[in-house]
Amino acid sequence: MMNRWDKEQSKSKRSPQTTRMPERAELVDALRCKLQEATEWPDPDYLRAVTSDVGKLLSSFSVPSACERNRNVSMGTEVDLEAKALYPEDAPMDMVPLSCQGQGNHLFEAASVSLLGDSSLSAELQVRTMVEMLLHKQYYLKGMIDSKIMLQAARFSLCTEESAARMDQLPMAILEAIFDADVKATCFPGTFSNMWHIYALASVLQRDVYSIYPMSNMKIRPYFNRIIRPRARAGSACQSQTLHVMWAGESLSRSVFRPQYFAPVVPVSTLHCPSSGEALPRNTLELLNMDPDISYSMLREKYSITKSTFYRWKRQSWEHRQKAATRYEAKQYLQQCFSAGSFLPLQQFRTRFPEVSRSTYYTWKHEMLLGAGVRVPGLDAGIPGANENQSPLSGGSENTESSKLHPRPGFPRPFNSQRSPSMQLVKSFLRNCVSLNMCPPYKSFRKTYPWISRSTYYNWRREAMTRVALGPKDSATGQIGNTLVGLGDLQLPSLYKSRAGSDLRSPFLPLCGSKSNPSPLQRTEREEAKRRVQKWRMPHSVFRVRYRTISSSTYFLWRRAAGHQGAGLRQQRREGAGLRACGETGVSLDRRQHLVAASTCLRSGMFSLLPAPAKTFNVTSLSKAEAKLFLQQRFESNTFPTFKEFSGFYPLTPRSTYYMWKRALINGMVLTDY
Amino acid sequence: AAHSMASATDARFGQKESSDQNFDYMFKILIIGNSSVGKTSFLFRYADDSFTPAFVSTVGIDFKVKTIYRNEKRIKLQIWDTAGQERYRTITTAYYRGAMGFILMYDITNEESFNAVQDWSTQIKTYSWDNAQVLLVGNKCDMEDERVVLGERGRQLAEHLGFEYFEASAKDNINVKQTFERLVDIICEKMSESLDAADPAVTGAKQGTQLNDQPAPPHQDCAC
Ligand SMILES: Nc1nc2c(ncn2[C@@H]2O[C@H](COP(=O)(O)OP(=O)(O)OP(=O)(O)O)[C@@H](O)[C@H]2O)c(=O)[nH]1
Ligand SMILES: [Mg+2]
Repeated sequence: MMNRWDKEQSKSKRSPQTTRMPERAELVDALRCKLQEATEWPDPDYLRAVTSDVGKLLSSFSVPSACERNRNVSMGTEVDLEAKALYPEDAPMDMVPLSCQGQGNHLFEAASVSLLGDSSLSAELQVRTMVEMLLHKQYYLKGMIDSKIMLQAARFSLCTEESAARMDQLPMAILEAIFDADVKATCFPGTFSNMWHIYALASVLQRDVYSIYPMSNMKIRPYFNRIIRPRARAGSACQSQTLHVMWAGESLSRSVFRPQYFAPVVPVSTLHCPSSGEALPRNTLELLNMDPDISYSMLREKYSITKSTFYRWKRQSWEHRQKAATRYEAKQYLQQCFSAGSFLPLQQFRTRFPEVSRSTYYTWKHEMLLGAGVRVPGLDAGIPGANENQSPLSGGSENTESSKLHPRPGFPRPFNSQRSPSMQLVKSFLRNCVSLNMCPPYKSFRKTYPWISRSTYYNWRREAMTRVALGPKDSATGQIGNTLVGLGDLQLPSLYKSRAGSDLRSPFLPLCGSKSNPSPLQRTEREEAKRRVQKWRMPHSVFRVRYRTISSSTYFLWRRAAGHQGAGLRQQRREGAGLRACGETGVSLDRRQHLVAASTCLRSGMFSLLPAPAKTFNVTSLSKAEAKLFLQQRFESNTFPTFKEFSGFYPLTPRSTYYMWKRALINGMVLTDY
Repeated sequence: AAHSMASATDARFGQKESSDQNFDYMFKILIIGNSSVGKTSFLFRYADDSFTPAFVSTVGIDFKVKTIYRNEKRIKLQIWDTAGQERYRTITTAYYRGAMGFILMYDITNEESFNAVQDWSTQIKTYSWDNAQVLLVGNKCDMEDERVVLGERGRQLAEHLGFEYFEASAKDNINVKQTFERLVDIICEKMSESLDAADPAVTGAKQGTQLNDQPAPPHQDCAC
């Protein structure tokens, strides 16, 4: 079985950037071994002496930086969407967290990626950080301006939510003992870094490190969300650049976050650096170009593109494909962000996907909102390219009428030309648009409302923005300053931002199926809880901790229900088989699509009818989806089946596909979203 | 979730280092249990072959490293000794993540420490990764005269919790080495089960074009 460590090592050894310095990597490895061995000695002075030697050796060469090696985020690196959803508003806007692999909570991998674009430097940063912590312990514990803050942060990381108060008194002696243990552990793989590692890391890099912390755990956030200054600063200008890393993990509720790992954070522009070419996660395209013979089924498995899209791409020239893939990617990305609860602002979107036009952005945005079942009053009017949607301002009963009046194509006018709406109505329309962060640019606005002057438009807009900013209490954060931001670049109201948005609905925004329903968050959480209980057989104790709001009796109810249907996996299979049977009679729907759509809906906190079930039913693709689910679950439960066992269940899946999936899993990919 | 899942999976399989490393696998192991049951003594006996009758209650947390050879493989054990005192309990749970094995200890002369086993077990289930292996150890079996927890009760509880069970003495060096070796074996067994499933794939499959080449996987080292 591979592990990340091995892989990173071998990958970095192969990468052209590091082949230039193989000795460096070897030296670092050797030094790490020395340190590890020294930790085995009972006498701490021995470790100190060895560390001091190692420190001297390391100081003979300096940490490379992005200036010396142009930083391009290496191919295949993707945006960490989960972390992105947690990315706080007060952090730099033009940066994104990336996913990166590693052991423990991989602070050093993250730092290396942030610094150079790949993880080749993680081992070295790790060793250097250990040396720094050990040799300058007194500085970190007592000598910095920030010492008290750092220690407080350490206290907070050492406790679970419920014990936060008691931890305040954790004596210095204990903290020091923990610091020592943490330092020693730093030379081993799989180490879990803490705030003090970040302080030492800043010194190692001789530059500021911006430790980005999600907008949660507000009481303790200030201790973690800060710019960490190095012990001493380098002279060179390039090294004075700030390095960004982010605390990522699990959002337990709107206000509670559990840090689990670190994510590198890089400027959006580096993702799109032309010389790197592949920086964009253009996986689909990549696959097509690397393997022209790749079959539709394989691609579909990975990216769920439609058959027609696939064949269209295959026919097209490389350039065409590239374009189409970019558009596809862009849309998917937007959709993912949307599902994750935040809408990528236009500016960021354009930086990432400059080829995709502004109007396309708005069209998609509009589509997604409507798709998610949000009734958006007056939305269509100002959105160029929006199509086929009814005129919202004309109100419920008149919808049919107005759509008759404006059958298609092009975007419908909010009012038919005979009925010139009152200024008040137009104003409220604009206000609604602003509250949805979909304010049309004046150019489009004018097309629809030619009788409204430019200055009136701007006045209304300003007013609407102020209103939004002061409006619903919770959405106020981060809005006020935005009046200056360009059109359409406003953050979406909080509804879209947090999964827990349910309780802060914008007054302008009627949510479908609101009121009597449980809040989307509760629904999602319950679904998730149920899934964990039934399919992953989460123990009761864990359940109680994770889902405090759900009663134990519910837990046992679910357990029993799952028990009746057989153990988790068997249950899956049965469901699949059932569907397959249905499928043959032509009444079922693609379960996977259904699930994905359902979860997207749930996650985005909206309810709507699912897309109409596909009429043509593909038995193979269903069983493939099922097979993937099966493999993924077995992988996660650490009981990965042999091919023989697997083919017993899924005789139609070829051996090669099995191995492909297996490799993907081993490489940390997710085959299916459940 | 996928993210943390991936790293969790890695660590479960131990840390296979590249060949120039000083070990083949590294296992993180924690010793937990009430204060004064003998956790620190147990670790010192194992790592340094020493014992002191004086009681110095552990503050916070520390670890010792011991490299052992099983089946021609070098396995580095990173053994974390935790403070048993109630007031430190939440600190130590922060260190459960990434642990592949636990030694859950009670003192056979101390009823209370035995009664706490259930809670410790819950603690493991709550804060550690799935599949962490646990061994229940009744320590101080040299003090037969003062025994209050019969071996049978220990055995039953272990069975109930699904753990293996040992009686041991740090003082007289009874079953100390055996405990660690058994734990290592259990972890290895778990590992080779997964390897069994995983092995042919990685060597056999080169078709995943989008993926990077992998170095050859370790063999079933741990069929020990
Ligand atoms: N007779 C006897 N005494 C033991 C044995 N193991 C430990 N002790 C004694 O029990 C006392 C407590 O041992 P420690 O190892 O410090 O206990 P601990 O579990 O680490 O306690 P905390 O650090 O507070 O969690 C010491 O006085 C030890 O000498 C044993 O096997 N037999
Ligand atoms: Mg102790």
